[in-house]
Amino acid sequence: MSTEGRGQVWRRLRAQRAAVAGGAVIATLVLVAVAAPLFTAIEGQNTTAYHPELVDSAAGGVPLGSFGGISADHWLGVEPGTGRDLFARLIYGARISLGVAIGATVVQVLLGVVIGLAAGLGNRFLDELLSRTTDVMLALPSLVFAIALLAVVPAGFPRPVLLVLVIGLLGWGGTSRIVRAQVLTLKSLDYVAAARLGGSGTWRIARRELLPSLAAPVITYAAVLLPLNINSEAGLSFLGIGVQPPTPSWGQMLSSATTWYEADPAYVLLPAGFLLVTVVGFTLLGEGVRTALDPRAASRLRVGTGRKREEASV
Amino acid sequence: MRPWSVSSRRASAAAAVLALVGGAAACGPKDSGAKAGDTGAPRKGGTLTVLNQAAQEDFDPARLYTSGGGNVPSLVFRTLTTRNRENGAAGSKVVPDLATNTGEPSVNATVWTYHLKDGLKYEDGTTITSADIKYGIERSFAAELSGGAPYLRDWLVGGTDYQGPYKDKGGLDSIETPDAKTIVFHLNKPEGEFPYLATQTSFAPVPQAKDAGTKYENHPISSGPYKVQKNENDGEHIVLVRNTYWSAKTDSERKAYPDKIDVQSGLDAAVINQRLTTGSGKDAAAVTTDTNLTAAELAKITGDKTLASRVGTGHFGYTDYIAFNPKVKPFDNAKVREAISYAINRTTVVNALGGSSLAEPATTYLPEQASFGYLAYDAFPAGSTGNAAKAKALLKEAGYPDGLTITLTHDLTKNDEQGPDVATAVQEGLKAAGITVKLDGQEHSAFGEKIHNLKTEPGIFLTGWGADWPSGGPFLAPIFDGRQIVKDGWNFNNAQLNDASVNKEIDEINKLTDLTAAAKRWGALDKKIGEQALTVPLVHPVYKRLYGKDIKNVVISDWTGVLDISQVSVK
Repeated sequence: MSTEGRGQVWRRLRAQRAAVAGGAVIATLVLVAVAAPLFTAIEGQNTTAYHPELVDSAAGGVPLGSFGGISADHWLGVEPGTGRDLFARLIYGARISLGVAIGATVVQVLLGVVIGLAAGLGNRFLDELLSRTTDVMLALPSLVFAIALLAVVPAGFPRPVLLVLVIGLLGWGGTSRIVRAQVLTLKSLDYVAAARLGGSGTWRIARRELLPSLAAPVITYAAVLLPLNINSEAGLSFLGIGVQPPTPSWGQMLSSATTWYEADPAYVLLPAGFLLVTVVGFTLLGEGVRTALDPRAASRLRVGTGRKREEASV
Repeated sequence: MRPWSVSSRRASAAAAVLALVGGAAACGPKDSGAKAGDTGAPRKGGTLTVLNQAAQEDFDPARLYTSGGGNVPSLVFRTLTTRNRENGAAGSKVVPDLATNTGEPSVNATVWTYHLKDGLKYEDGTTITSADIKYGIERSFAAELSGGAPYLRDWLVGGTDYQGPYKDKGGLDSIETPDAKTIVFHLNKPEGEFPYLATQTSFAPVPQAKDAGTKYENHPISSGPYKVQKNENDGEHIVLVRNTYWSAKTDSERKAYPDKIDVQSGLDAAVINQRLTTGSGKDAAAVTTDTNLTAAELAKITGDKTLASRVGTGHFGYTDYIAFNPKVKPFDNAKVREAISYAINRTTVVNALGGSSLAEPATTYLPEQASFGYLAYDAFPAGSTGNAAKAKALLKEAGYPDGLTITLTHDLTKNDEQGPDVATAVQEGLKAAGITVKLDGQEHSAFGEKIHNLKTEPGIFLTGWGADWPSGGPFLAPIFDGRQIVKDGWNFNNAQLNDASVNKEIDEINKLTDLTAAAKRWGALDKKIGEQALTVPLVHPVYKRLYGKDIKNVVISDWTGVLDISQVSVK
């Protein structure tokens, strides 16, 4: 994609309000997550300190005060039982949610592209082998597999990295299949044939001729994968096999909060709300990116009608 | 012996039943709701519904592992002795059931003789004989009927080699039945607490002619006030109706007010508590024998006076504690163990277990009920939130002036008494004393295997213990008797304590048949062991359970800590 093409995509993306809103939400969340230590310092709290004086121990540990104990000191209230600060735990939880999801998506995309390219460009045997492996990966009940993997790895291994690897290694099948299909189409096009006749090797063709054209579908698919990965992490932590206490994560908070929906609704609504907003934000942004990269959508958006020839194949 | 955590979630019959043992409603001086259900005299009739999580998978007296005969099982199976069905401390006494008294011991408590009451009958009208009790006990030795408590095998002469009546027709010689109403037990060592053991369902009579082996549980022959009418899906739905041959004249313990008892299980805990809260239709006359209120449910109920009046509170003898393995550095150093004992913040631990209504801070290993021999002591006073200064001073003496980093092993199961919530509370509490705690969370069964195997036992971990009967014996002996260290297999003596004076005192107390005198010595022994800082007692849990609005005559003993369904009336 040329510079001019990039400019067009950007313009088409900005033309979609929902995508812009999604992007803004994501940007804010990323900023808050990155600057979490700063925010908690301003609030004067941390994720681990217990505040038994802020909960009613005799009543099961429900936070004192309204809306889950919201106060000037505890902006979003405190956790039932422990009295730990919810704002601090939520924004540190964002680091886990976003970090693991982005990391896992990168692993999935890298693996998917490499394997898809190899299958599309390799000989028949390699293609068969990789394609069947991809089928197996897609057919695997990945949640069950992830649970098994997470259970056998020693506790000493850093948990967020492990989650990135497990979610990443189990979820590259879709990307790989899309890339292979795309490569098979592109391979027969004139400009690729010309490159081959010009004496370019397979690796050079992959890098110079194919990868640029693969960018659009891969980015689109990655945008779909991201919110799914956020949910995977939350799900695994909800089941108690994701990040381990006292490290906070949204899934884990939701899991502890489920029983409190009547006695302390704020405790359930906060992590659920954050998770919802994040996933919706990523989904809107992803949809926007897909539309922006789709030249056929250009006319609908009434921007950037000038098209380049190579994009026609996208 | 019973570490609650190990067995209670195995979903084995044993565990289920023990949990089911009682019911819950009114014991202890702190209980204010006890009277609520007691308005009007209890009357006969009606159907009592029991809503449970765990199915009564084993309903064979040989396979049930109960404390005091269980809750539902005790309606069908009468035993030589049973627990006293009274509120609070009086309820931890052992009283006669089929027998005329709690047993006549020989001088050194190795021979125990029981005489049966007159007029005892099965549900078919035939007479209960001492031979049936002997046969019932012999069945519990059969490999195909495993699951019961291990005591008889350990205590009876020849018990370790006996294979049960199917393989070994000769029977067990150490149980004699000189006549149809007398039964004599010969033990291989003095056991003053034999009357407590005789409350377990393996002491229920089984007529040999009606024995159907592993199928006997589908319709065990009742000796109690109710007989089995229906048993569906392996104990998921059991219906009990009156046994017309049972006579209140021979049974002063079971009140048997309802005409019918409908036990429904396989329900989710939240569903059970929701149904008891709402109490519509048959649920108004419902109780649960295995579901406690959680912290969140308690938070909701506390604000509602009518609901709060339907909560039964009880104390089952149980202690959650931190265990040390003094064979692992740095816990070989008593000063390190003492420092941790001083540093512990019991307030956050109590809150992690549901708050002050569901857990009471513990400084003794023995539970606080008198029958255990409870002797108040606080060997390392930590106050309610920990004594960081004292802990730091001890660490300095021990050679750790800059603090200490340790790894605490715990169960990964959520809401478990040894789970992540408690572990993080301990972790946060010790921080103030400069002790950095790393957490080693293990999946439930892996956790059990790790802490109970001498080869893998970690230096410090969370655990808990509850006794099969309310006495200091089954609390202290399995954990601190040096001869009970199991080298290859499941070991409970976590501290690997093998102190000749402790072993000797355990033997001496076991000779006592005066249970009050024995209790006093158990208490003194607990204090003596407690001073060695081999454990850090954390809390004694409190049971809170809801019961339906039509439920009357709620009795909660200190033996089971839960409502006794043999006392409940629905009219």
